[in-house]
Amino acid sequence: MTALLPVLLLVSSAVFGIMHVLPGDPVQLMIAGAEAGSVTPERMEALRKAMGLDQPLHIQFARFVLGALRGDLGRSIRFESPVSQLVGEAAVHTIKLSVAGMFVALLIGLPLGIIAALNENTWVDAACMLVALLGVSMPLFWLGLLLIMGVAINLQWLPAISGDQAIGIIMPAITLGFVSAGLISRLTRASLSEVLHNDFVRTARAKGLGERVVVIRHALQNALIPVLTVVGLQFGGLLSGAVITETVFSRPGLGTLVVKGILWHDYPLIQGAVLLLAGSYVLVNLGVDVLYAWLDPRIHYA
Amino acid sequence: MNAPRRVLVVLVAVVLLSVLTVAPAQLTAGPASSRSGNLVLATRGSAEPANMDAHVDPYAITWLMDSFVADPLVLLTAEGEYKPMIATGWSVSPNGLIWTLRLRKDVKFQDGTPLDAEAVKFNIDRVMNPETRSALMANYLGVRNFQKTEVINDSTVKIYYSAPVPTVLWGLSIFPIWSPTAVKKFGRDFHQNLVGTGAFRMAEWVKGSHIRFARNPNYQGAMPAQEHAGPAYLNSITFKFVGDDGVLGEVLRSGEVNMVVELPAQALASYKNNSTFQVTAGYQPGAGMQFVMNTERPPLDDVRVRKALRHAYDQDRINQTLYDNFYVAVKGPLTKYTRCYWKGAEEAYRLDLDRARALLEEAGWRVNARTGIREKDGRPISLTMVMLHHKEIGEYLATQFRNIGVELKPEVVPGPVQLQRATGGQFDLMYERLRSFEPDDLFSMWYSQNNHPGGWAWSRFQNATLDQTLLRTQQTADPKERCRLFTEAQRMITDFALALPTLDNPIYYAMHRSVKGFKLGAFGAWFFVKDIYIER
Repeated sequence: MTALLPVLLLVSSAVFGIMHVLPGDPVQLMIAGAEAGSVTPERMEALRKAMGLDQPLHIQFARFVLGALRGDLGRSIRFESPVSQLVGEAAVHTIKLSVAGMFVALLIGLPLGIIAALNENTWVDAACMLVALLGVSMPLFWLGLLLIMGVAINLQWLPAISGDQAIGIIMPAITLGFVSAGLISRLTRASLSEVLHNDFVRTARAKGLGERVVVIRHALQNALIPVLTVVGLQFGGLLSGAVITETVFSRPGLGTLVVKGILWHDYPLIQGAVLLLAGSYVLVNLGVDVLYAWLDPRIHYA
Repeated sequence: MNAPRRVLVVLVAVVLLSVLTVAPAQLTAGPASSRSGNLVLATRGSAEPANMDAHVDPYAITWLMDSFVADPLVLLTAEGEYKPMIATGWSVSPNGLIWTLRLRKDVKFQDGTPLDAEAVKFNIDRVMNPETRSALMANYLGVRNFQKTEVINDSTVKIYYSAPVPTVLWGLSIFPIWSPTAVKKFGRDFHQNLVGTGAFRMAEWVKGSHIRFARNPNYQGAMPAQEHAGPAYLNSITFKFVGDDGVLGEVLRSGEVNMVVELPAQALASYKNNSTFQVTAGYQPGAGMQFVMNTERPPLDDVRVRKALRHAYDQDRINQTLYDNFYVAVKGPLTKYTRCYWKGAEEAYRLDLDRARALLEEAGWRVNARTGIREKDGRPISLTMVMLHHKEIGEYLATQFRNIGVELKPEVVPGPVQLQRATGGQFDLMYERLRSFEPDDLFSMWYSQNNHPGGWAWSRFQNATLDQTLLRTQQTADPKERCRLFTEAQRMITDFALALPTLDNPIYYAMHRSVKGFKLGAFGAWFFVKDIYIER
């Protein structure tokens, strides 16, 4: 938890630096296509001043950090709304999607990996890994469009425009989750397969324990530790993968908001969104660390 | 707790979390009268406004949606005439400097406050205030020549200018009058809480998803362009924003929406041949999809090269090849759906490759037999074409220009990058399009002093006669004289070959046949909603 603040500070500095190094003046972008015929250098200077962009970079950064500490992320240049409001609203949708996507990924990935490991080097194993390979190699947008055309347009079972409806999350979650499921299943298979060859598993079987108990209680417990690490990392991946999924399924979210922010050099918006994303990433990994200790009592944190 | 149970608990927690975080479905109320319904429209995701206040935002979709919430002072009918709406009448002083607006006396905003001369003054002053950061609206209402607004009595207001502003009526026709009380109450968040006098209230805006308008049951207004007075038939109007064009082209079939605005051309044929749906084309005024030439840097600083390009392609063939003639060929600075359109542009440049080659030879560009590309002083002729969309047009032109030994590199960029490149002059050909119903876009785009940050004179062309002609269009209020001057300006812009006009992409509205009462406005991006209902 103590790492959270330094990480956020570091990420903010990096984003702040990159955004200011990139060519493009947010004031020019704001008035471009607007105020035509009435813009004077004085007017541009006034706008720059009003947005605080006339200050030296370190002052601008310090103001941002101090504001963020007070919970004030400023106002979006492009959207004329408080950044905390924009980012907060969008984040709710993205987190919903990521959580639902992770649920799908675990629902498909874990059983697939376990079945493959238990049937190592058989046709069942090959079939499971083929599905996993499809998941790993299938582009998100392609799978998304395929689902929309088949399930929404032709069968009319689910909405093509996901929007913020509850039912609309199903297809985006499947799309997002299927890709992660591929990786999770492959890792589960490899990990469980390795554990199943260990001496303690042989001992458990020699003691006369049933196969289900051996696999679930003894082998899976050990096999899940590396899987959990990847699940944590994948959750971060889902947050970024949501950009494409949000676009294809017309869902609101943080991904599309960040892209718009970058295009319009909307510094406050990008900084606010990145802060939230980085914070989420750190917190998810913190959660994974806690789960390690919970799943494996041998792990202790000082 | 043992390990398998812990795994189970983790999984169950994930399931519960995903279920709990999903919001319950939104319920919509059912209509009661025989003519009612909920209109759900899908349109491009990129069309979602950043700011819902047309005082600030310069895009036609914002003006349209604001027209649901706020009636304008002046109505632009489908026939292109200006009719009284909230203003019962208007007059202009003989020198064109003072506009007098007479207002209806019985109009109230949705928050119950009266719409009077003070409210109109508040709105005009607001849009003229630089702090509002008004985009095109301030221009249309004459910000450069604006002096003051004066309340004469409760129902009369005067606007004073230092020079005539010919676009006042056009501006007033898309200018929403907001409740001053609400503007003051919500401050900078007003654009998310619009309060006007219109037939609909702004009910909900989920950014990145949809905007919903609910019927204002207290609305008692009448609109000359609409058949019935009083509240609208529809219970609600919802705009849904679709991120992918392929999905936008198909979504009407799924039954999720009643109408698609800006149906992609690729999807048109299937809807046109299907009796379940009806398709209406909204033709667009303004410049059409044109590419202005950077006349400040070689090789397009040479009029012979510019003319050679004009002779090297044919708009009708592009339309036929790429769009099955669903688009409209544009051959001059304005589309034919714009007031004061000059027909002479249609005959100015015909496809004539020999003429194009001769012009390039004359300009000193010789073909390199090895590459097939023309060169001058050892430098090949290679042009960068910056565009926002419709890359296929750029690719088609590249093939055509190759025939005369000119290399063209189409480059699709996002809007902000386009604006940066335009301001910095980093282009040879640049997509530039304004689309107001009045021809004054010509002044914005071709008057040389509009070449500054925020201005539209991207071609950097300077000619005293053209400038003088365009300036005079802004100084006279006489419609006939204005049209004469605009015609002259179009002739000059065409003669100097300052742009490559290509096509106009009409806004195609595809709707289910149950949608009744749809009526287009005077320009393609505008339609009237009060008479629309969904037939059960």
